Amino acid sequence: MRYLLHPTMICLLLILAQTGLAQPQLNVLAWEGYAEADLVREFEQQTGSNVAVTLVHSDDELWNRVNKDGHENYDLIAVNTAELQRYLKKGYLRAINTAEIPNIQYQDERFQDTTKIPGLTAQGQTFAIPYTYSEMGLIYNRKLVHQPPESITILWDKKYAGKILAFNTSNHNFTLAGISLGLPHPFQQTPEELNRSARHLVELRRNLLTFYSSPQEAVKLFKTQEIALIYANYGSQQLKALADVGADVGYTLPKDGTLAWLDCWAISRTAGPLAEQWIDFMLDEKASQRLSHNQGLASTRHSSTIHHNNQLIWLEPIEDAEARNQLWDQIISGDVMERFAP
Amino acid sequence: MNSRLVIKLTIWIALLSLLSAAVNVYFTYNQSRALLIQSSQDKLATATRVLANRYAFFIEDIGKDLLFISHLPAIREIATSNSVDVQLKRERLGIALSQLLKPHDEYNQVRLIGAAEHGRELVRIDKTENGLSIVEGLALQEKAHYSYVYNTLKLKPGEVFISAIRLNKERGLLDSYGKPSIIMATPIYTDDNTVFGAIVINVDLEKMFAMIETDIPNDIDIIATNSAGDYLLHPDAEKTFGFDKGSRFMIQQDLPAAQRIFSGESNNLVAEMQDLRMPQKQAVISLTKVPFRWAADENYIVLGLVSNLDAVLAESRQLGITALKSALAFGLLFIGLSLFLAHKIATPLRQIATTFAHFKQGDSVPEVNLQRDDELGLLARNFSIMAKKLNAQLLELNNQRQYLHKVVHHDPLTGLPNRILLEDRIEQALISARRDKMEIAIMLIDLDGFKPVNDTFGHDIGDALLQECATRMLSCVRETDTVARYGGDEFMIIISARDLQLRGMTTRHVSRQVADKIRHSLNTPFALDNRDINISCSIGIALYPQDGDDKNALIKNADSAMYAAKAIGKNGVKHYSDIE
Repeated sequence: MRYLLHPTMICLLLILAQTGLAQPQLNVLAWEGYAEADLVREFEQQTGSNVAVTLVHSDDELWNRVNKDGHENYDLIAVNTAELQRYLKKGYLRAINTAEIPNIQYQDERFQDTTKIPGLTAQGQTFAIPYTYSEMGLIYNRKLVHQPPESITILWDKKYAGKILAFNTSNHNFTLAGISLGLPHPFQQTPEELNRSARHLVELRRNLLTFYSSPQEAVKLFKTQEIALIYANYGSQQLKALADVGADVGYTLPKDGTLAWLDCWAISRTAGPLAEQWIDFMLDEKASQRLSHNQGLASTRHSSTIHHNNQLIWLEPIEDAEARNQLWDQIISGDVMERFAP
Repeated sequence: MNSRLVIKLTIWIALLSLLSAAVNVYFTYNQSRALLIQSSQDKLATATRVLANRYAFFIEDIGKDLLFISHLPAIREIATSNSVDVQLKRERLGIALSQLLKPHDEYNQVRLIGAAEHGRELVRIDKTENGLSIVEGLALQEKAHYSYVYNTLKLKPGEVFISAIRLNKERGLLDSYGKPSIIMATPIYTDDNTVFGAIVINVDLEKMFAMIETDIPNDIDIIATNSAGDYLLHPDAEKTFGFDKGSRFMIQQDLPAAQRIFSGESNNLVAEMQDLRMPQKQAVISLTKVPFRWAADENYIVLGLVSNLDAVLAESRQLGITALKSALAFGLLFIGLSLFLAHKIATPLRQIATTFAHFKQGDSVPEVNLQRDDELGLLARNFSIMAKKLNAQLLELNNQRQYLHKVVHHDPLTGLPNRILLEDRIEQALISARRDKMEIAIMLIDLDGFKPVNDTFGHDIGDALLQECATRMLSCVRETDTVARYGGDEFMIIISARDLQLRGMTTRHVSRQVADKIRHSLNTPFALDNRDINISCSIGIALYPQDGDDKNALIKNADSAMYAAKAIGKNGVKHYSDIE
């Protein structure tokens, strides 16, 4: 028995132990403000892991990363309920072991029962845990817009031509155009309807100053240009960013429909149990408070600052992301209306 | 002793010189390393400024091209005319702009964009794989929602707008999609001073930098960031345009000190950081802010050069090795020199030592042959002087000793051996006689009638008489015999007539003859102070071994014999053995 402790044996064991003890890696695909650096460090220290956070700025980018780079490159994906479906269909996700996430019980009642939110479950298993949500309202410059806008159609109002900021993304913009056009199923549009929406978006493009890509860019544009209205893709988070620089702005949820997204944590099929620990960590009081205090986002532990629940249109899966994407590319590049002739 | 000093001196000098060489090498290496790093930092900073200037000139040149185009008559015609041939004019402008685009490899698009129709492109020439393509009809797009359009249209004539550097996401320009580009534009005004549109040039950033960085060495990486710190150029293409691709890679993450540039604290920065290609290696980075004098999405970009310290460190290592080699060479030289030096010092010392080792008392002081002016010459000379003094003192001491010897053992009046020396000589004679079985005679001579002479004529005459007696007695004996003043007017003579004994004569006989000779000699009148003085003497003789074995017995017996002779009636000779 004593030979077992031969020095070379110990060396060998140490080497084996080292490879075994190498820090577990966790790759997180998230949005700005979802995983602040100090929280990430705290999680790393708690679990002895190494976390790499990749930030995305649009749903399309998120999809491209997972779909093209490979889902195995990521363990956790912060994705909204509508987008979730295509990830599920492709089999990129695995069921979540909710027993390993004790913080779920402290979530707001609305989010605890995942079966009540469309798309979170499949075959009785949970595939996504709600993390944060926001409605995409309208930010208006009190100096230029004196009454809170009641309809989303104000974005097309020539009165504010060249003073509007919209968000640079394909799917919501088409849904938005669909709602504005009064389409019955803004999330599920026929090719003809998509074409109509595209024409409507060209009209929108002609009426606005530009499309922004990040909250900071919107803030910068607000400061340097004369802006009357901002379609707030980032919701109250964006309102906070503007208020922080002293902008005199209001925030309103149009009555004819306010899109709202609910971002969830989903776990890649190849991820280990560390992913559940991450979700539990992120649902904890500290991270949740951080969401509302620092980012102006609503956490699932607390009620939203603005309660207009009945006006919210939760995002749903769309009919054809690729079609919307291609059309959007044309629109953003400046293709003329004739290009979208029926 | 001959080589110990040489060895010791050699070792010490060699050790000291090696130590000083080692210290020298160490400091030379360290200092040169620091200097080399400093100089490489300075060089890099200079190179960065040159690069920044080139970039600024390049931007300036694009601006000049824009302004040149804006002043083309064709532009004015298009801007002011409402006639039907406007299409033809646009085609002509298209051809003119093509001529501008051709020689500029870095331009991939030139456009005239109208302010009307939501920024509709009026003339657009794209660079494609196969050459130039003049875009027409429905392919002309509306660009008013781009910052390079809505911002440019707000500018005054002659002003230029510079876009942020981004990945080109505008569909339509096939060859440039997704490529980093910078867009510059200038407004066009009509005669009635309303804005008509903008001339826009798209610049391919990669090609532009390929032209700017022509003489930057391969081992130096060029980096660029926007005003937020996002990498626009980086050796690792993955890290560029992170803001356009989802994950931001900012220079502040790699080099926190860079924040000083973005916060406006400084316009230049030189620092050491991890190499961008090989993080395990150190590199020097130099950053310079390049501000734009024109309106822009971002007021400046930051250009930087990163130089691996490998070359610098290799150079300093090489320097260290060279220094070490020369130190070793000098060390060897020092050892040789110290050997020589030790030899140089030791040789005269040895020479001095040898010279004085052979020097004996009384020798004339040797001259050390050192014709030197240094301390060794002085030492040798002082040694010589000291030896001379020593020699003189020794000589004097010797004379004194001889004098004292004489004073102690001789009678000052007559110069004859005194009683002390006499007794010693008797002993010596006895030793010699005992060994050789020879005889000796001890003869005691007492002057008769000396006292009256002394009393009558004074001590001077008495003394002179004694001196004369001594002289006469000496003439009566042979050199080998001893005549001594025994005291007062008594003299004693030792006779050891060895040669005569060997020829068969007895000492008794010989001593009798000598005694008679003395008696006769002293009987002859002494002419002293113009008077004749007559004295006589009585002589007693004791013989060894017949009359006594030792000195005291012989002296005593000679005395007895002398008194016996005096008792007979003075002027007589008596052998002790003849006493009744």
